[in-house]
Amino acid sequence: MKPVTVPSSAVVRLDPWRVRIEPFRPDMRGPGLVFASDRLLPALERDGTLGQVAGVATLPGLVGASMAMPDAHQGYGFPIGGVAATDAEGEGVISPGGVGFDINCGVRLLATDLAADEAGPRLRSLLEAIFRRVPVGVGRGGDDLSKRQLDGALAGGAGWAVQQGHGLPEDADHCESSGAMPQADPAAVSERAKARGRGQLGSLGAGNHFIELQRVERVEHGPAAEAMGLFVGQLVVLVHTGSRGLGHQVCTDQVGLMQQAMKRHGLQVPDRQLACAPIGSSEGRHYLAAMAAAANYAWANRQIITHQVRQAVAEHFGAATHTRLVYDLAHNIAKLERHQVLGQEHLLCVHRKGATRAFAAGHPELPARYRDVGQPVFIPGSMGTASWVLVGTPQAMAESWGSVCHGAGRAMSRTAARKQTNADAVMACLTAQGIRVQAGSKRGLCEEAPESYKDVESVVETVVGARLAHRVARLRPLGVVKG
Amino acid sequence: MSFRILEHTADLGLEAWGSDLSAALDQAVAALAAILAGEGAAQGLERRAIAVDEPDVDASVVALLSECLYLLEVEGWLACGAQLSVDGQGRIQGNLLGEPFHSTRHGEGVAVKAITWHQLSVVVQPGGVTITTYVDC
Repeated sequence: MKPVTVPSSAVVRLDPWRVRIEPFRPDMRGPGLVFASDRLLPALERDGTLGQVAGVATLPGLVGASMAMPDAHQGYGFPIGGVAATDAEGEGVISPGGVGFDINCGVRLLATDLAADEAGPRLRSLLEAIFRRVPVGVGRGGDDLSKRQLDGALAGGAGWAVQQGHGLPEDADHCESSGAMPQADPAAVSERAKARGRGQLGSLGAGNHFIELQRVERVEHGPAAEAMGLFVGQLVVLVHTGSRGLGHQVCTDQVGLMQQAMKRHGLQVPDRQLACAPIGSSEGRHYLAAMAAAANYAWANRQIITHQVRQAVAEHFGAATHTRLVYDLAHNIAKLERHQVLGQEHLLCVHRKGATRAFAAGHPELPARYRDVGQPVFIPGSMGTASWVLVGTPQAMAESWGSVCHGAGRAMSRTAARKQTNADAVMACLTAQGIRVQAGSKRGLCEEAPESYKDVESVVETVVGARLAHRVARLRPLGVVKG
Repeated sequence: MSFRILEHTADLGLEAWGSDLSAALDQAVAALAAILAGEGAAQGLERRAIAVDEPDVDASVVALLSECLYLLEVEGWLACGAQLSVDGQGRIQGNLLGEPFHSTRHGEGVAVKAITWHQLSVVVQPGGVTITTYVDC
């Protein structure tokens, strides 16, 4: 199958932050909507992202537009940074490619009650302690789980991990979906997937996954920052990882099954990675049950890592130090959500592939702490640049199914990054900025160099300009653990 | 060596070719090993029997390469080649060639999450067979 090419005549700029892709193929069931400034758009045109947005618009039962966030880049089938909703009560489909292999890859923010400057002399030791406590890299993981324990994680997510002693009672409430999707069925997860996941719970993995120590550099939205317990100068910790090999195998299994389901249901898509099945079909329900279980595994994974980080903080700064979970959110997920469509409430299956849920203030799914300010959203930059804390807005609810970007977005291929720099140079550059690094792989460090990513300020400027989110706080990196 | 690594914004692709499907599959496994461990880092010192029975040749490519990822992650065994035969129904049988993964000798690669169907192709021409696929890193 050839990549979809978007004719320039179909690309229409609506305002400084939005570009519409008019339907230009008979199989497109809606337009494309790309949130991108003039500065960000050329990269999306060059790397085929717009064609992938158009490809997603062919999914049966699409509601509204196929969207891409300003951090979007070329993916496989779906663009990374893609958002698409389908009609969950009608002919809508669910697509494993719209979730991706790292199911519920996501990020959580932990807030200590420490001032980063006071902690300064011990930050290096803290970083080393976290590196020792949290397994990183290819295939490395924690203790082998029994079948019962693994099924517990698959069914119970973050709450299960807390019950096992890996956290505080309030942690699960501060996760998207309270840290567990109710549709999860451990029996829907293959034995191969379970074999991959049995020994990896509580591990970071490799690639773009990280644990970062950060300092709150400035606050731009006092009430929201107060609700989140954030203050200028505070030491906070950002954790980014997902469902590890278990999630990868669930997606591999399900994309294969859906290739056959497509034929049975008479469905066609322009890229086989967009394989899908009607949500109400046996294949659709089976995927939802397996994906939800993998998502729960990811929440349990981040919860166990959180416990390790807390232990390391307590070792260094005393048992009375409080490290609170601000919020945990998913980047790669499909969820059944109720949204307003042309003035009426509909049940939709919202696919977020490299995108973040960003519900506005007042949404009943938000914990009481955030109901008046909106859902916290975390936008990691890169190892050497700022990260942002945002909150969702009513405009996001109205326009993007309550979704925004998930990071800075990759700008440079891995090969190009290795040609441009090397691990020693990356390390020297970060050290010169006062950023300490603990990395499991030199090649990985090089490929994750800050230059490999887009300018996070331009990305955040776009979602704020489009009124999908408000800025709350800017964070500066102090130390990084990479796989 | 009859493969090359393809560029992608966030991930990587591989293109592998051979005189027939078996030879191209051998090179696809070698290309995946080059991504996982660095080019030429792995040796085919051991054999693992494998059988793939999928509905079509595209699915067979995904299944074979996915099995390599599974073996690496679950058993710590790195495949770097294959001696395979393909019967008239497209069923694949034979051996993967490889060795136990060793972080010092095989540490110059990148982690691969999965084999995708994105722009997956198996092109059969008079001169041979070319396999193209992308992997999620």
